[in-house]
Amino acid sequence: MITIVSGLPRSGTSLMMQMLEKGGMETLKDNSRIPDVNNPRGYYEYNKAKSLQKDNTWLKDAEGRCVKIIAPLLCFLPVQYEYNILFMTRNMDEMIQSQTKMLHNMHQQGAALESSVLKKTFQKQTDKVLLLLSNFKNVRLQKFSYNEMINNPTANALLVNQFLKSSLSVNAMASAIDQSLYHERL
Amino acid sequence: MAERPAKRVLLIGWDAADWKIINPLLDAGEMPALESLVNNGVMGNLATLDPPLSPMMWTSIATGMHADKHGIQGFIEPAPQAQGVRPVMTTSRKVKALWNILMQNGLKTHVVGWWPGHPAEPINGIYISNHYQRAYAPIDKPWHLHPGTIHPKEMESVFDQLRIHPAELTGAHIMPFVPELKKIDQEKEKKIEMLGKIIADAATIHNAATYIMENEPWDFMAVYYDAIDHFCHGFINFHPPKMEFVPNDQYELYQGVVNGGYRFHDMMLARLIELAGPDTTIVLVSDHGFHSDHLRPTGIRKIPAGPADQHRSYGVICMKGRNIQKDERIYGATLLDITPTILSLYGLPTGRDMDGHTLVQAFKKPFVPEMIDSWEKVEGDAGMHPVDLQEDPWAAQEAMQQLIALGYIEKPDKNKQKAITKTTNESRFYLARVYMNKSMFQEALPILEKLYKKNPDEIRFGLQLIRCLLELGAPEASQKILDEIKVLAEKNRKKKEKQTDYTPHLDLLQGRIFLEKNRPMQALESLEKAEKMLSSHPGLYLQIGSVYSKLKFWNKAIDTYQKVLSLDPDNAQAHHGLARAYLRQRRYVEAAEEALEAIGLLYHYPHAHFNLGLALLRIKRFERAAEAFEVCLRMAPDMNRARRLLIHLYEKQLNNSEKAEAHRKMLEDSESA
Repeated sequence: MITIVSGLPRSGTSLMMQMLEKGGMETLKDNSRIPDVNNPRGYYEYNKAKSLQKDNTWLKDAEGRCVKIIAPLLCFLPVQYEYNILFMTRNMDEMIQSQTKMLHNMHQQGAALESSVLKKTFQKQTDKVLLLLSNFKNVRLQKFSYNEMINNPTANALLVNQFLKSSLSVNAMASAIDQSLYHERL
Repeated sequence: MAERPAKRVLLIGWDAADWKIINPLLDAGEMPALESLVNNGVMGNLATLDPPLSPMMWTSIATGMHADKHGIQGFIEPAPQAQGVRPVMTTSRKVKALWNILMQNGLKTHVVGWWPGHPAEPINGIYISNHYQRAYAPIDKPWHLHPGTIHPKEMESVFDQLRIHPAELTGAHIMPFVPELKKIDQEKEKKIEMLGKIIADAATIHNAATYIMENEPWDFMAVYYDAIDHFCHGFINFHPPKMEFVPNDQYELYQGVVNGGYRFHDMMLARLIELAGPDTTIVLVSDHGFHSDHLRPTGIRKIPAGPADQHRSYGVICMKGRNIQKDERIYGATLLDITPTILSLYGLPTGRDMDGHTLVQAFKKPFVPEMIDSWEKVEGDAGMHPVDLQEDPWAAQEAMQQLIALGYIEKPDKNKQKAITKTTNESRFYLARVYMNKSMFQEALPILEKLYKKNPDEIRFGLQLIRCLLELGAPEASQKILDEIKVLAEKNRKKKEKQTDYTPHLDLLQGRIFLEKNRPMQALESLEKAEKMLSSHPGLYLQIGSVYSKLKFWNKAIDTYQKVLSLDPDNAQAHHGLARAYLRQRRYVEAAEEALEAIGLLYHYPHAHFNLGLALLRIKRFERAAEAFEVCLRMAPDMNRARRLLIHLYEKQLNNSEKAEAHRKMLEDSESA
């Protein structure tokens, strides 16, 4: 079984990875992106996961562990493995605002789209991926709301355990949630 | 209308069909099926749009809208997840096609081969995608249908069997096109292979269409053949009269291919007419024409979609049906008018958001077409793809770029990224041209500025930006860009790069800039320079004509416009130029006639309607003049000069204070804006 944390950038995927790690699950990451002002506690990324569309041979290393994969790439998951996917959602306006801030910090240029169009496009892409995954027999998926998790850390940590049918430390997972890092509150 | 004018409609698309090639064949009795349509119905030119690229055009035909609304912007588009590029798809169309609207109104519809037509749309009849006919494997290898080619899926096995592979053709199939086939070494000469492919593809489409017509009930059927365009792109240079640079032996071998292609289509048309029966209204159209005479370009520019230079501005329209006029010519039709016209044939309203209009002149009984705001707002199953499959590929690509910039997805490899960037640039360029075609210069400007800034080496982007700036009355900004381009063009020339020689185009634009700066003598000098390199170029003489007009040398302007018409008798701009010159010479009747000629060729021409109004006003045909100004203002609501004249007309001549007041209010709003 491979555990996948997914969602769009700035939806709380790093936070969920921290929770799982603190709770006792082994994570697949390579620290290729060091912590910075955007993610002071680290990105919890595995570089090869960013090119899943070209190479999925590394997925064997994710067996029994959790790895972060960005939502649009989930459609490239091969059928030979079984997956538990924790899919992060967040208020779309907050998320886009946070992405814009991150792009600014990185001196990068984002999509040449109006915010409303970008929001609609991201929503559509996410819906499409979720619809596709709902047809995969080897995929179990549960959505987790970033905004909910910030407000109710323990309840959500319990939900994570329930979904994964595991006995990760609920208190440790809940302690990973630091409300002070919630900047783009709308 | 109490009664629906058409029981059912067969819409036939012949890509690139052109009366200039058809007429001699009709005269020789070599296209009897088409002749029966022409003699028993209406025929005319069908003005194309800019850019004249087939997937955009056929989508405009099927929606009645320009590409800025329907969303198909070129031949290719970005594939999802930054996976490179792919041919344009039906999932990218933003609006309903004709068949979707008809299905919503309970009519049984079938579509064969429309472009873009993949994946097949889930309509209530059969939909065959435009990938259906392509033989992508040798005959001895499996040649499966791609997923999404046929709707409904259970019909796949039937249509799979109806395909013809090019390798199934024999010499007997090729010889009607190339009688001296035996003289050709087919190992060395690949033209025959190409010809075989074109014939097999067309026959496959025809098989599918005739199967449906023989075996399925239908109210509407659309079938699209792309073969004439392929015959012409491959063989028009061998078509008589012989072009100087074509070797004699090649001319002798291939001179009959294009005419053969038309005769082949006439045979297929005969069968379609027979199957359709006498109660069906038949509409035959092409998206653009094809230069087949002295206007054939001698070379193809090495730019994306360069072969489109061979396209002529007028395609064909021909309609026959029990409520359609007989043996009449129709004028001023554009390909935007097809969807509204067919909706009217079914007694359905046209959408106010459509850019075209019902061709009322083609109908036996005059009527005012019914309208609704938009068919997009009408709910119910229209046989479109599910919402989760519909996607704006350009927005999706931008969203993907954002994820790449944020570092969450790896950049695509160089080649894919290059292909995506190139495709995106082209589509933006086409969108800017669509806006310019609609006189929406303010919308085109930021797109062209960005394209030119990011791609200063792409001279055509800069040239289009200059044209746009000139339309917006900015000669200084135009001059600055032209100077930059001249430096680059000179550098390219010195490097002897195999690129298009833009020199005459630069001189042409320099002439326009001088004209805009009110320096007509210098303008003339630049244009005369261009003339040395571009003899027999109607566009050049048009500009020389406008310089003479600016100088008020009316006789010289008239001579020049007549020169254009001797080169290209269907040139709407030349007729309009003549109308303006005659107006200034107070030859008002001739001015009105020339303006009408221009409008007959190109209906969506607000300046021509304006000058028609002016000429009619001078000869005291006040009601007709008001009509002309009204049409002008519907097309170009900001033409305040037309509105002022209209107010004057309604107040002083037509005694209609209500309309005068309404226009005065619009004038005030426009001026305050």
